[in-house]
Amino acid sequence: MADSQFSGKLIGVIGDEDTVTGFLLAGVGERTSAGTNFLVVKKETRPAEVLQKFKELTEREDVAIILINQHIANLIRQELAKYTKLVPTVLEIPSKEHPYDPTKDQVLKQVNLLLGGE
Amino acid sequence: MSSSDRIDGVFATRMNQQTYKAKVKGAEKGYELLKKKADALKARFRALLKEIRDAKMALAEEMPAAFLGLASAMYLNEKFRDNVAYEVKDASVRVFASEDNVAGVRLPVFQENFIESQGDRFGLTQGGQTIEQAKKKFQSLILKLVKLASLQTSFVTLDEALKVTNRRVNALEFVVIPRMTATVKYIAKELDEMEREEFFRLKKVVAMSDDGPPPEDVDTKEAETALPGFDESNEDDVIF
Amino acid sequence: MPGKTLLLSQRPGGLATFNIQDGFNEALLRGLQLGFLSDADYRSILQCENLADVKLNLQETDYGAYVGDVAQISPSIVREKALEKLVNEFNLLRANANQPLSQFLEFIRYDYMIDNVMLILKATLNNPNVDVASLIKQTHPLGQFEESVFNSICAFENSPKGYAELYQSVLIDTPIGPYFARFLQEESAKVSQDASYVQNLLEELPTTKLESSLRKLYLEDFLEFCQGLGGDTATIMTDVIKARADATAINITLNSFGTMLNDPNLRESERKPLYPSMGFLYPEGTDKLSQVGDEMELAAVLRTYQVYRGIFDKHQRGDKTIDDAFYEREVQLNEMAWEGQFHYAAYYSYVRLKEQEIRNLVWICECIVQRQKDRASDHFVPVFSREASYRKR
Repeated sequence: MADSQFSGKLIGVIGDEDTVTGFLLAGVGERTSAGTNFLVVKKETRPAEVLQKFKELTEREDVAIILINQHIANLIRQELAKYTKLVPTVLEIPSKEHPYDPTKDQVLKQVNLLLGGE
Repeated sequence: MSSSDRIDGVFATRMNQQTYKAKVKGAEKGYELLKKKADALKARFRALLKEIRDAKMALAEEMPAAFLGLASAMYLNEKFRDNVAYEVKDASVRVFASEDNVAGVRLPVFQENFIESQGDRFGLTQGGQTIEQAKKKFQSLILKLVKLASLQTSFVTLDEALKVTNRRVNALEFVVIPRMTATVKYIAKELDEMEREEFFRLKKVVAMSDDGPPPEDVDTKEAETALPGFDESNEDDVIF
Repeated sequence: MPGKTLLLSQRPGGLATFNIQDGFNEALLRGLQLGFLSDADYRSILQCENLADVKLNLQETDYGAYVGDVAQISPSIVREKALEKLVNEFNLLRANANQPLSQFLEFIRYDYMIDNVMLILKATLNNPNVDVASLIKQTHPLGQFEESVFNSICAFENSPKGYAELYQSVLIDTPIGPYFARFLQEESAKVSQDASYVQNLLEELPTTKLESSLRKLYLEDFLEFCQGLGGDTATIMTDVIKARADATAINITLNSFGTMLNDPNLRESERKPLYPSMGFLYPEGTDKLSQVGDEMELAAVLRTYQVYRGIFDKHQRGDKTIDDAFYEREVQLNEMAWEGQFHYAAYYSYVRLKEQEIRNLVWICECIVQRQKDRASDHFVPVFSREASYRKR
């Protein structure tokens, strides 16, 4: 954790198998004795597990950005709406089997509201 | 104008009048400056909104290509997915946070950093090059996502800053400045009132000295000399 | 070693005696051959706009019974169901098989067992608190051990003692145990089963090396077994296995460009041992391969081998990736196994071709999901297609 000052912070990923594989392939994954910065959410994964990982990632000092699949974000929508910290930033991304739905994106909703039906 | 609109406990003195006149001037200047800041933030904010929306839409378009690249890799080497998941050790993508400054508001900016590893490659016996392509696609996706993350934090920060600034502008425009002008007016009114009272008092004194038994010569002379002087005198010069 | 020389009377391939032992299975297999998706099936699947349509189309084929009751269809579910079908068919064949066909079928499974053991080793070595249940789900169903074996592989302690136990009590008892034993023997002259020694080997050795060594030993063993069987089985399997070994050698060379393995000092010591010690290229071709440092040099080496020159040309022209070209070649070779009768190679081909069909299906489904159907032709190789490029002359 000390060297994160020099080498930068991590990107966390919570997503389905393909999303996580893709980003791990790109090199975002980190595994230490304390745990990992990613979670593969499968059909049988419970929302409580997702929430736990989300909280864990948001409390880590060395995480700057958290990527989360939109359909998984929907599982913990209430808690996500309550999340107000600036860093780590939570980014909702589309997944393979769930194309992007702009109406469900917390930030985009706000954006569209402010831009007013443009 | 009711008394609650002005600042309580201010005595109507010449000094206070000066002070408050200066304060109103200061507040007006501040108002103009804040208004300018709010406008600057607003302009940046609107640009940001468009940027965010465009980035999100572009992302929605680029993701399928990346996923298809991944599917290609899976087609050529089914095992690599498990290898990727289980061989993770150190992140080769890191993010640095710095700051950008817009009209005095500090916005966090993320900057990604790829550490090129010369280490082992996935799919050595099969599909290595396609896996490499999929990797590139996801890395370019990360570039976009990191940018989007910067935009999004800027959005939240700017939103907050804009709210605060607007609140200040409004407070100045609708509360602080009106109250101060009211105070200045009140002081002016009070001073006028006091002046009129004093004038009346003097008049009364003169009248009494005319009606009463003739005073000593010196006294009458003094009063006579004093009166014309008072008539000609300028309001401002009279000091009580 | 599982492979042992057979008595002449036990060898399959005799016109007069083949059907006594293997006739029924041969009939089953020829029946299953009809279950491959046809060109028309692929065409109608390619016209689908979504996966629900794909499901409808698949219900018209042999896959119907497997996808029929699937509620939510996705590429991974298609794969899962198609594999389930393959495994059921394989088990049917296996249940009816006598020696030596049963041994031949077991050999096909060893391939997947190696995959599974490697997967479990990689997973457990890198993260000790891995979820065993989900790990078992990721293993290939054809390479299944008994569940107790899986559990004990996963349950071993992450300590020298645990490794010793893993090796001595679990791996050694699996059908692929002998390959591990040989590998460990070759790695060090001292054949110690000393606990810390095994752990060091498993921990420090790049898993790629362990895997390619196991695979190499397996292929050699399989080849030897097939040659012991004689007849058409030997002829065809030799071709198929050698072609596979060549593909591996060429791929390792090509994929090592840009990595440490291409370092001139490491080419001989690190890269060359990964090449299989068999194949049409072996030994003089692999010797030359071990020296090349870029695509130009690789092309120069392959120029003298007609088949590989063609494949590499496709790669260099950018028509196809080299892997796609090799898949196509593999399909072509495997289809050849069906031209003759009274041999076992068709069983191997059946599994390999079915694997290809599953890959095709999954890939097409992926393209449909991502709404990029125009990319579908990038990859898949239809099996027994009348339109295959190698049939058009």
